[in-house]
Amino acid sequence: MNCEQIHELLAESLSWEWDEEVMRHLKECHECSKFCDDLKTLAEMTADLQNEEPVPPEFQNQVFYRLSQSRGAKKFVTPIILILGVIAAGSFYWYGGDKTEPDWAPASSASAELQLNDELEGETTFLEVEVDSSPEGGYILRLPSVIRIKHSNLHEESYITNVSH
Amino acid sequence: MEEAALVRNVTEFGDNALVSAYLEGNETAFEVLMTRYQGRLANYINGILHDYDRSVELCQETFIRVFRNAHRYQGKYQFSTWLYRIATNLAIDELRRRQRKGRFFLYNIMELFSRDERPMPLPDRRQSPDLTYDAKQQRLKLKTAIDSLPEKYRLAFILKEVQDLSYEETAQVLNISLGTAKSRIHRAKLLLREKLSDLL
Repeated sequence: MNCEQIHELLAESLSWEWDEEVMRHLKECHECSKFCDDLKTLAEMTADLQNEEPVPPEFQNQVFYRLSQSRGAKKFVTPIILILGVIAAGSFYWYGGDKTEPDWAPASSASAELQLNDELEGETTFLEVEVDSSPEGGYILRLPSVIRIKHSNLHEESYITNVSH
Repeated sequence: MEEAALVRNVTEFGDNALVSAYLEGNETAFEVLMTRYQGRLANYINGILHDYDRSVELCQETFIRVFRNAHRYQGKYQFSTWLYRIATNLAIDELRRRQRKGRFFLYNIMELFSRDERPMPLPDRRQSPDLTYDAKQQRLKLKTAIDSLPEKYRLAFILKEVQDLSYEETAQVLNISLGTAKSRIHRAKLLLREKLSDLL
């Protein structure tokens, strides 16, 4: 083993006592011996950082409180989406009804796909709605390719991005 | 008496058993999980943010997300890995948000004036265990040196060496390969050895 290999081995783990070759090398090589001592000291100093600062005594109560708050807020999400949907549908009907030949309307061949993509690792939750329209037919309702509704638990905010007509 | 016995039993459960118990309606199981990890996790986040109050908030947010998604936990990884992964993502998001908003905290401003590109130490306003002056100075130097590491080395080093996770867990938390995790930790140690040469 050369010094570089010894350094790699020592940096990975200090449990090298079982290895006679390493022991022999450390006895003969001052630089590696110093390197080993430094890493041991560093490990001891780092272990000192493990001492925990206690969290505030109301920590758990606050978690349960914040959880109940967000549960309460969640109740309003579905009604709000429904109301927005009704308003949007009403607007479409009202705007299209005035014209003999509407500028745009849903194509018969349009297909819609709803996909709930909820990340596990604490990432932002995405609700993705994709609408694909076939170019066949007289009118094509052009919706944004992706409607992404983001909900951030940190700030309790909801917004729609990538909306274009 | 029965309730006390139940609590005593639950505290002896492993993490996965506690998640299962919580999913079966036992809220005490979640309290035990929080008690088990809240201190370590808050300190871990604080090691990244240096803002203890915000770290406590993000630690709470981590548990809230775990609460909500507990039914999705399949035990593929250790519970602690899942917990640290959420906390890491939240802490990194917070760092990015601060950078985007250009919010310079006193700590960062002081870093700018640091001649050797290492942040100057801030006085620790929290109660610390009884340590001698030298020990305190040594701890401060170590913290400062760790803080000055590039983020990717710092996170890997803290998870492995301070939080005492295994190489495999560290890799899973950071979503990197085992080889990359080992390499980053190795590099972090070499950098720290250089920075702390006066102490070693």
